[in-house]
Amino acid sequence: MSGHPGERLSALLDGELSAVERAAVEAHLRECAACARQLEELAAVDAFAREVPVEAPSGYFDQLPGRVRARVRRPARIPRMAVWAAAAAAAVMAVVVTPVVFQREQSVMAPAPQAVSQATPPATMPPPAVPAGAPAPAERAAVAPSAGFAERGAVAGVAPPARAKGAALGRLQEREEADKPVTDALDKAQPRDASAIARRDAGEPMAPMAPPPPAATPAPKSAVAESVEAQAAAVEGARVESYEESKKERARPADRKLAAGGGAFAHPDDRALMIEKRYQALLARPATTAPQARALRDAWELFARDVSADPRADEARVRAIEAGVRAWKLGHEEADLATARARGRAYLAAENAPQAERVRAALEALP
Amino acid sequence: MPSRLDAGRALEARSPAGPAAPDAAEADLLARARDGNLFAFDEIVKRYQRRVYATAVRIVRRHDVADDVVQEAFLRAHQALGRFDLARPFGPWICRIAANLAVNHVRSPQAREEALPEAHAETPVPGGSPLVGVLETEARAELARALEGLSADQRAVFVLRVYDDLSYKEIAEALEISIGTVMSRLSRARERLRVALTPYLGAAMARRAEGGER
Repeated sequence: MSGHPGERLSALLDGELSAVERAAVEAHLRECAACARQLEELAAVDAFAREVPVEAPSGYFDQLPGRVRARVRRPARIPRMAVWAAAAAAAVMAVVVTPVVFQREQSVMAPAPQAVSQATPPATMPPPAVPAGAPAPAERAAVAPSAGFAERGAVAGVAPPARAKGAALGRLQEREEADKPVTDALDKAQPRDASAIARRDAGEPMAPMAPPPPAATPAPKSAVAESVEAQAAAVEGARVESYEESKKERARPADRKLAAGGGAFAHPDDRALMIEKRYQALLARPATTAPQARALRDAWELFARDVSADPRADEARVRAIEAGVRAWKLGHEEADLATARARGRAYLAAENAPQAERVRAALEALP
Repeated sequence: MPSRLDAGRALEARSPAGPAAPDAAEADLLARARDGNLFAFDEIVKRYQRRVYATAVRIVRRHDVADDVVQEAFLRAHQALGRFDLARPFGPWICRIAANLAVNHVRSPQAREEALPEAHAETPVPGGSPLVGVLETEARAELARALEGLSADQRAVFVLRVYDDLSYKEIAEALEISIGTVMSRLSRARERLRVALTPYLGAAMARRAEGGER
């Protein structure tokens, strides 16, 4: 090898050199005291840097979980950071605000709002944030309890057009200004949402098997929320790897808008679709370790509870038992054994136990 | 000089908070959190908040901005849990999200307006350890200054490698740069720190040697 290793010294420290490169660098180090010394010092820099602790203001970590929780519970709220996070800034504003402006102009021109929402928009045109012919609030409430979210897109339309247009230009320096209309609108929409949370909390405040919050259920979301999510997914998707599902996840908002005639609100069919998706996802979920099996058992139980009137609920109950048995087989933990037995017995004791045979077979695997 | 090479190798092998196998309880928590259990997600936040905060504050160098980054990172992780492979460790993943957000913030026009950093976020509490002498305090101040002098991109690479123990590939993914860029940025960052800290490294190396022989 010729010359000093340069940046390969640093890579050697990290074990990031190929065997060949590494051998070459090490050969050089045996000959060159200066480089050997440099390597030692570089290692000392790392070691020293690691010794220096990080300090946060006192009490910070006591409060942080609660603050995160508050934000997780309001998934549609525009994150402060989304605005300045890279390209998201311009894109989010364009997606969130432009459709509103567009829709307002449309409704001036079009005599029947219904017609606007039914018309399939050209591919180049962003779908309207809110269908002009959206179902009445009462109708929405009948479909799902957390339908309050659906109003948000509509409230965003209250933003003064001039302001909104400014934001659509994606002028970053006007972040505060641009951010305001939408955030204000969300704040206005908040009370309904808050009461929904209060109701949920009054019941079973975060018990391990508490019903999932709107974010995880097929709850309808506003176009605003979906745009932001889609945006976040687009920004993150590239490096946050994983499942095939991710593609479907990202495609979903657009699909749903089309399915619902450009609307922001989930149609009853949409709910059925979401249940089916959830069901399929559970069927496909692997359980090769005890924790996975345990989590799958809990997820099936949750599913069975959520769709108790659905024909799939029985299958879910049986699968929960099977997953529970599997959890015991994989982990041999007493708690899993007890749970599996109890759930199995409960199933067999019920009047309606169409798959009793299968459950008995599963239980036979237990000691 | 085999002893020096060994020192290098020992460092390579090091994996302090080794994210080898994610523990079972964690996978369980994540699965529950993914199914919408806020209690479980809360536990995840409690487990990782310090680590995520450390990553963020080391890159952005300001508490208020780090706070924003940490919250946003957890929020994004929560939204993306459905796509997260539970068999993988959560720590490196959330740190990658946080680092990406942190770097994007530092690059943003808003960050340039905020310009001046607060008092060094990393300034240690004096007298924490009796071994921390005057020299040590000086060295730490020098390190803080040197880190301040790096570009945010260099700092991010250094933080993810040295504190979060990510591989070059993981760093490249987190920051959306090539592996070659990771290698050169990291080398430049270390070299700048090495030059700045040269007067103090003797002591650090001596301590390391002592620790190693025991």
